[in-house]
Amino acid sequence: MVDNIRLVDVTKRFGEVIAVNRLNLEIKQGECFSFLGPSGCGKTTTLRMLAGFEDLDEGEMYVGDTLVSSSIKKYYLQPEKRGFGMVFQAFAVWPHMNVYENVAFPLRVKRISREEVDRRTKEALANTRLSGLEKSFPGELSGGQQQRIALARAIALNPRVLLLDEPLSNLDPHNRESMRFEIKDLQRQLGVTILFVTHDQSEAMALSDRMLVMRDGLVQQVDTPVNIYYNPANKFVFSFIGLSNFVPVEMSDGKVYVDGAKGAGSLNKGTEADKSVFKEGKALVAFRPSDVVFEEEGPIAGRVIRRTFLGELVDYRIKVGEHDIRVQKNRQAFQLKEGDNCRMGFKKLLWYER
Amino acid sequence: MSRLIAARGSGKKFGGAEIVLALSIAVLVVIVAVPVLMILYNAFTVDGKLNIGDVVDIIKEPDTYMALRNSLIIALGVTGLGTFLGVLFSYLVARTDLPFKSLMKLLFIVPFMLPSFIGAIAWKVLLSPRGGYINKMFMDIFNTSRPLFNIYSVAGIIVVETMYLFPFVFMQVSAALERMDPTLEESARISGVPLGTIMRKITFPLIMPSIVAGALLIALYSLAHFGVPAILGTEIGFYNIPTLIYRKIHSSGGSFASIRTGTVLATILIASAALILYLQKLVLKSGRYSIIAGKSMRPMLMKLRRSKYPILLLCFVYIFITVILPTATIMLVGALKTYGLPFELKNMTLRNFKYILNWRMTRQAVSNSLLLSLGAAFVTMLAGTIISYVIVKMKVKGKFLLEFLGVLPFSVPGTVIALGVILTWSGRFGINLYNTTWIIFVAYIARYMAFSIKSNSAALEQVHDSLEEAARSCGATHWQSMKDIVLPLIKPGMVAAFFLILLPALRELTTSVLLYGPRTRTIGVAIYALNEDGETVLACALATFALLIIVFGEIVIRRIISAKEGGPSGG
Amino acid sequence: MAQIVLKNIWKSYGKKDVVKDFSMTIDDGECFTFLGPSGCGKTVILRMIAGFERPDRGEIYIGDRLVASGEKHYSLPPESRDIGVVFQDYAVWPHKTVFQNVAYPLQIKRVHKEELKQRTNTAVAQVGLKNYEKRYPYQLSGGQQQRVALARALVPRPSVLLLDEPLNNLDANLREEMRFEIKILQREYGVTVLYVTHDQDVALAISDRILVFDKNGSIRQVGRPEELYENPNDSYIYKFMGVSNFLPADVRDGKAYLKGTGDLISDQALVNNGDMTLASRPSDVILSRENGIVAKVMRVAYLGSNFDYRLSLGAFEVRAQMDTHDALAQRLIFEPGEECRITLNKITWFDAEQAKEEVL
Repeated sequence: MVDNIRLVDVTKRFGEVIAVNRLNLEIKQGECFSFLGPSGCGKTTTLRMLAGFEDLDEGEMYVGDTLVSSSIKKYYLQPEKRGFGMVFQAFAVWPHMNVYENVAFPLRVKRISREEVDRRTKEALANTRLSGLEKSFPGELSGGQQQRIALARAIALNPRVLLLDEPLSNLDPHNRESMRFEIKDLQRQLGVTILFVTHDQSEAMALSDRMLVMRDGLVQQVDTPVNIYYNPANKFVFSFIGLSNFVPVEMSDGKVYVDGAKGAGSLNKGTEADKSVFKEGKALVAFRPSDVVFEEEGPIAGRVIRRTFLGELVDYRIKVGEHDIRVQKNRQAFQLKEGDNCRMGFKKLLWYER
Repeated sequence: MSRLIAARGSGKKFGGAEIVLALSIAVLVVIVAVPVLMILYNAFTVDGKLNIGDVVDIIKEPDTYMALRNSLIIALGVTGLGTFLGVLFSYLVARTDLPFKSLMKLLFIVPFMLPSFIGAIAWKVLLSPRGGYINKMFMDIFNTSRPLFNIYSVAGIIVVETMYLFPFVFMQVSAALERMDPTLEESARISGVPLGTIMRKITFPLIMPSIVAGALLIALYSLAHFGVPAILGTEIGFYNIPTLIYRKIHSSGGSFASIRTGTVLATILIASAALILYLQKLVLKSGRYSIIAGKSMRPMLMKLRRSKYPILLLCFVYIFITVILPTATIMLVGALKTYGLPFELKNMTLRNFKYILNWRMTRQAVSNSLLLSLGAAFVTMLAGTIISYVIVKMKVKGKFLLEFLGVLPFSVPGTVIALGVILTWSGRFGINLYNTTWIIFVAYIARYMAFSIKSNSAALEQVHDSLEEAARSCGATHWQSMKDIVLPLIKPGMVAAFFLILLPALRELTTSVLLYGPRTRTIGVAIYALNEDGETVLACALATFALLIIVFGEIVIRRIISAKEGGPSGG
Repeated sequence: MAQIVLKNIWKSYGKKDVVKDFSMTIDDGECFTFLGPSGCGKTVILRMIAGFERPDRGEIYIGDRLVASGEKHYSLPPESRDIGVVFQDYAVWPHKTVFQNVAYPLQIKRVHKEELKQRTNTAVAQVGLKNYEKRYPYQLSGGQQQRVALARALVPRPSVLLLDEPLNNLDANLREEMRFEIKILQREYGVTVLYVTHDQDVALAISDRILVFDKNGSIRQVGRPEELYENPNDSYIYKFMGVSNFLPADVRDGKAYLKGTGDLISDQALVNNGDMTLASRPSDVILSRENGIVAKVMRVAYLGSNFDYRLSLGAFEVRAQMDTHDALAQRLIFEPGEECRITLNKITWFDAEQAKEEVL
């Protein structure tokens, strides 16, 4: 049975604000799918609608062929009947139950045999590296361990779909990184569909098979992480997904120059400008700090006004005319000093309207 | 030494911090500790010698142990009933889709503002076995000589007290339910756990500490409650500890034997109050889960479906019976030409109100109460601010003594404070305040100091040390940083403390009833005495004024507090 | 502008010595960072310089002036030390507007009205809060509140600016932005900065010199960021400064073999024979299909500008980072489960025993 999740024209309003605006989406079974966007973009609301905690103002939601939410039919399958697992930002582990009870409690309610409850609880705890902590109470454990309890509790139920609402935001950076991989491993091992809500682009990129970028309730792009990084649908996606430079440019005699810096050189050397975005000869060019190459034959000249050693990377601020460009190079790469003049080439340029 | 002051003094043994500390301790010792110690001293000694045998004899007297038993029965009944009602209503208001919830929430805590002894008078008017209006109506309609309900009974006392004390549980539990992270319940739901099971296995265990804390507060107050048993119990010779103390001292005109009995009874009250507070501390410590929400989300609401409107009706009936009916009764009786007449327009008059306004006794009572409560509120607020500053902000050895003395009055019932004040300020230490307003004033300060310290400490804890340190590093001296940073930030806490003292002091009865002299009646005493003398109509007329003053005060404080919340706040 | 001199400072709380015989000179106009795990005493030292705590023993000078002496029981109050302090929790005054917050130090100094207005406005503009002057702190984001604190600390032109984990409560993007801004402000004001943090990323970006503490409060190394990163005194510093791979090796006559295998990792191991530990950064692990020792890909995470690989070398795990453009150009993208080959570009050698020390 294929349990794809389908959202059809889903809309949700809070008073005047449209939290989610006509969202259409299909998530494949077994996929690790992320909802990425700044806070208030509607990603958590979408997840909570899927879980059944929020009603829809418009639209329908299906899991496989089963209708789970419909605004027209006023039909909402109760959250407890949806067969989902969910992990929350604030852990939501029950402080009055020990680790074992936290995982076993929802199973017991299901009237499964005692041996089965015990077996599944122990298995889930082993899968989340919590064996040996069965008797501990959540208050005695670290944030990372508490979030593992929540994860164990969710997977012990063998859910069709695992909903993760910013599960790593309350963890310290170290735990955040290792939990990321653990979640990914669990997903592979169990073959469960994962819906992952986050505002952290590196988290979404590292985890997802596909991801959705959202802003003000509207879908910006749905694609694989690589495509989103390299072929962003618009300016917002480009700037949200990583460090970015936007430089105003002007076209004259078919050549593209940085605004007010004709002397610095023409940008079309080696790359082709997207002419369609130029309005009255003006446009924006965008590139990542890591996509700049220092090379003697580079088309654009600039001057290093600040160099900052960041460890693995060295961060430069380069002045081109009146504009600042940020460049990041690996520490082993060719280095410049503050005050040096340089020429730059670009691995990839994107063109946008001003 | 204070971090801030530590940096200033240079090796001196006694800096400013120590002087402030010493003064604060001195104030608390004189006002709070000495009266309590005097009670213990008088309870256990005769002519300066330890005498336990006498104590045992006193407890063995039937009067005494009956009062003990009665206090216990009332406390148990009120705590049980009040906890049940408090939990029920708080759940309805916080976790169901009941309509008019915010209005309801407000109405449920109204009884908290009203003086319970005035309520008791109202219920006496309505349900006294023969003269009560409801009972009379009932007997007329059903042509019987048995009353519907006799309010002069243990059950009557328990029911009336419960009406006024259940908000303790209601407020604690609704706060806990509102603060609780909704995802704790949602995570159970999405795991397939049915709603009923969630309530039993998740929600209730998590709010249990709040329930118990509220229940213990009810127990603390009802154990030492004076007003209701005094009005409804004395009639049938039913005494609890505070009313027995009052009777002993009043009937004997303050003889040594009666005071001694009083001190023994008071000691028992102190001990049980201390026990209750200790239990509360244990409960709060063992069950203090952090269940506070991170994101602000709406909790899931239980759909009441078909029972929605019946339950709504039930809530309104409850509010009608506990708030509106007694208040209206007081006002209507206050307007009767003679007590006992039916409520018809022809029997109504404004004469009583005019009389109250012109009568010297009542005018004096009103002005006494106003002056006493304003004065006590002001002085206690200021003293509380200084003491709290020492407790919260200064690192001085010996401040644990302050903390202890500061919360001590919390566990000392009003009756006990009155008794202690009599023992301390009747000339034994060279100062005799007996029969003057000052003795009530001193008692009020002792009684309300804990409120002030609590409110001020909470405000000061919001003012993080770094806010003061930031001012110091900006070049401000210690005094400047106090004036420019700390005081403006704790002002709301000080204002709150002022009103937290002013309003209860205005309607106070328990303490002043033991301390008043011929010219130093308070409003509470005046109403109580009028009622005792059978002047029910005048008592109700004066009570009407008292209610108006209290309601006005509550409205003012709400305005002030909500205006503060809108603007910039501390921390 | 002033240098800060700390001479043989001791400080204890109860029986615990938090600072033990600490001496250091922070040069005039320098941006100096105390980097260390929590509980190493770095904040206590900052608070002693500020005057919020007093040393039990030892002396502190700001410029030529003695500001604290444990032996003489002398401590100049904070308001007389000519310092600015920025706290982790912002500590902006909630009852004052942005303007009032920033103007307060000048008000205390009784600066003339016109000058006060002009200097406050300049400072507010410098931290990018122009047009926010009338707002109250609760109307600002965390980052904006921290900017107010920064402006307030700088407006009286103190000779020393003390920053106590000021970026801790900010999210990653803001932190990345603000560390550059603090550096710019420091240069503009020419103020001596002491910055306390446990975050090596911020320390590297902001400092002229860094002092690294271990958890016992001992000084492990003092130096410029690149010195610490490229020439660490020991494995502790190496681990502290960033993500690292540690592998045990058997060294025989300049040739290093992965312990327990015959795999040659390096033929330029100019260190003692026997058990050694080699360290390398993920970006120094070069992936290829032909050259080097065989490794198995465990996990791949795409991070945008690079791929993050976790590889297994028998029992050992190695992290590798590869630039996305290079990977695409050279068709070097590996899937989990695939085999690849690795060489190590830059190796740092440590004594096997010493390398076992944990950072936290």
